[in-house]
Amino acid sequence: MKVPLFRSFLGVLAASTMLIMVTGCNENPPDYQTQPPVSKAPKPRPVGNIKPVDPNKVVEGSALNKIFPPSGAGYKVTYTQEKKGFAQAEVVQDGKKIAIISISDTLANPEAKAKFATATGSIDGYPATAVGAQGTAILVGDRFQVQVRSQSPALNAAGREGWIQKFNLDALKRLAGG
Amino acid sequence: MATAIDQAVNALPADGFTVRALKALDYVAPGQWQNIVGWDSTVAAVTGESDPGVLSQVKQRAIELYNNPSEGYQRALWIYQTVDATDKTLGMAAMANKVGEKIPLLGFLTKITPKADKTQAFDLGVKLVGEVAAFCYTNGLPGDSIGDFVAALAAYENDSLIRMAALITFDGLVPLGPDFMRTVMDKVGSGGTGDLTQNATFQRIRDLIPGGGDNDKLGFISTSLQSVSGWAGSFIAERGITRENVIQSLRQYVEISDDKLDYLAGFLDLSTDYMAHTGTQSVARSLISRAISEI
Repeated sequence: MKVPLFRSFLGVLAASTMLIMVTGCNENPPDYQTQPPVSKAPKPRPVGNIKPVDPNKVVEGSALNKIFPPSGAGYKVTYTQEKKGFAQAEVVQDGKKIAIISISDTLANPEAKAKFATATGSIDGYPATAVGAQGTAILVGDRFQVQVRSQSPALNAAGREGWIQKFNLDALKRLAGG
Repeated sequence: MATAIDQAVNALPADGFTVRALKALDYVAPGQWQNIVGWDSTVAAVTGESDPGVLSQVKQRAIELYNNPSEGYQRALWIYQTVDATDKTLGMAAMANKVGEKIPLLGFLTKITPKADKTQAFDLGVKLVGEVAAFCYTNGLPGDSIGDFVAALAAYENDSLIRMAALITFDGLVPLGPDFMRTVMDKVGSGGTGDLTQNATFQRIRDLIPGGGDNDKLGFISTSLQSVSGWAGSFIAERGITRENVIQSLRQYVEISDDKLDYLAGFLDLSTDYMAHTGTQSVARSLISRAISEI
């Protein structure tokens, strides 16, 4: 089994972070109270050929990782959980955790879809609703829930909406069979 | 299997010697660990929500996830509870009476046998591997991916961070001195499966350590130690942790004379259950964070 040493892992991480941050180092840090300008967003992660999931099987967490926003433009996205039907990451900016972002497969928890039936909001055309006072969620392809939860008072509902839009929602829709 | 998660979190003490020993490490990661106890308080703190309807849905989903054995949370909790389950000969009840007073180490010397370096080394190795396994059962990732675990170590915070701090200070630095990682790797590297199978901590959690047989498991322990040694060294150096300042901080709660320092590690081992205490908090935190994301 190949085991990367901690130092060499850190070296790779540092090099790739520097490469990504070079493009943003002359600009002001993005105001994450509003939607970040699309032109400054880093390129999405490569998703490859997305095949629609089996409508009767809960998706593997690893299939969801590719849909997450990549690190870049002053923030770092680190995966924190990956289970069947669920993937989660945290977003850190200027050394402070600002959000926890996740995708969950509602096939594993169908009750979660109920709140979207009466949702009045939408983000990028997908039904959107609040989850408590700290979260905003959308439902993609009537299957996958994307949620952003604030971890800092500085990230408000508008900021959460911006972060939802950073996911590769087209790819997620294709994964759902749309 | 492990106790129900809400019961386990409700049973966590707000005070006591484990809590004080961990608070003695606060200077290592100031304010990181808040010792949130009680199921309702933990759900509210982790979600940041106060609406009773939302909290009720979260609790229901969390228990549902926990109760499904294939989700891994029960195994994780079992590892944390079991790896700490030494024969508490010093009597936790005796500790409880002393809350508010400094515990005189001198009063317990006859009950403590300082561990041989080899035993201490294997204990640290097994606890570390227990942490890797419990982490993977809780949060996912391939079960034997040390690389992913080491990457995640850099993001450790709250109860997870204080647990690792306790592991490398109480179980490493205090008994074995500043060169503890090298000592541990030497002892485990030169030890055989015989040493491993005799280790009481290993016996308790053997089945949940990755590896087909004891040789594989020993190999996994050695590899884990090597991978984490860089992190451990940086953790100590960046925070200016020394054996002396750990002992000095513990002196807030324990009367320790300089000629009895050899007994301190054994005392900590027998009188604290920091893996079980903070491990319960970490499992609950991940579980609740997932539950609110899924409702």
